[in-house]
Amino acid sequence: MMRFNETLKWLAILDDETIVKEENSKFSELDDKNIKLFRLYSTKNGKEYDFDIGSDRKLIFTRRNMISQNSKEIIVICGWYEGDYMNVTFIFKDGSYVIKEEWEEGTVYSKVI
Amino acid sequence: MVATVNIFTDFGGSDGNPSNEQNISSNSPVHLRFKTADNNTVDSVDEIKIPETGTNRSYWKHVYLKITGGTFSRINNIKFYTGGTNFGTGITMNVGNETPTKNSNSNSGYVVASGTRGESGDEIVANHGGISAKTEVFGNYTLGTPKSISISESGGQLDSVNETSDYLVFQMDVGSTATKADLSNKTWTFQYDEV
Repeated sequence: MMRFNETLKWLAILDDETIVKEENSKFSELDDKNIKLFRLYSTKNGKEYDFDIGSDRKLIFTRRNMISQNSKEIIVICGWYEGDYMNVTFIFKDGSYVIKEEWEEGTVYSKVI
Repeated sequence: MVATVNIFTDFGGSDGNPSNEQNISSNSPVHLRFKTADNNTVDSVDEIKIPETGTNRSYWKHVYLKITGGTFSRINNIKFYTGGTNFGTGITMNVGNETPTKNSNSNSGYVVASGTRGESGDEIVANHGGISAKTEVFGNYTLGTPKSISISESGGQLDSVNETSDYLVFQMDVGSTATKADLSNKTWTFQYDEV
């Protein structure tokens, strides 16, 4: 059974209103200078998380995987930074989430490189 | 939409040219066993005997992450950590401080494990040319203080199937104060970021 955060896919709405979906694109092909809004949406229950990016913010997105004996956990990490300020949401397998405004090294909230 | 990532070990062969590359996840339920032989077989053969004095050691093991399939853009920020609880008195699990080079085109950091089969492996710092120091894993590498694993693929990231991390090199030491037992299993974790 897929856990909630494994059902999250992304789409990006660009400045010219073009919609780029994960199903048809690679994240590395996105030019974050042109992203107006970045959205995570659940393919299971339609729940959405919107992140306003715009021209001044830099997008942060990754799936943090922890693999060990016969198990795999994923935390979906998404948000942005602008200068010294950041706002990043960590979404867990049960759908709960935590918002951080600074990285916390030595925890699951450590920096995304 | 996601990469398929497995944990592998290389063994056998010669320096820079291992003869075997195996996915340790194929061993079940225990994925990795430290023993006095250079193989990936989880059994009770070639156990590490408790010495009357001094230290007996396992043969060292080269362990790494490898992408075996999936659709993804890149993987980086690879880390390793333990649950923090060790095997008990007289038993020390070490990892080399360096992460010798391993990638999809080269095994240059590989040094074949050596020792006397059934008795003891050779000590890692003295005998592995890519390791100059070692650190005990359970007390030093936990979720709060993981060990970073370097990447020697192009761009310093994994972005294609068959690409790998560099090696972690482990060795278990058994001293005379250890108690004879079939030790309980420990869970180790590899963490990585993927988009």
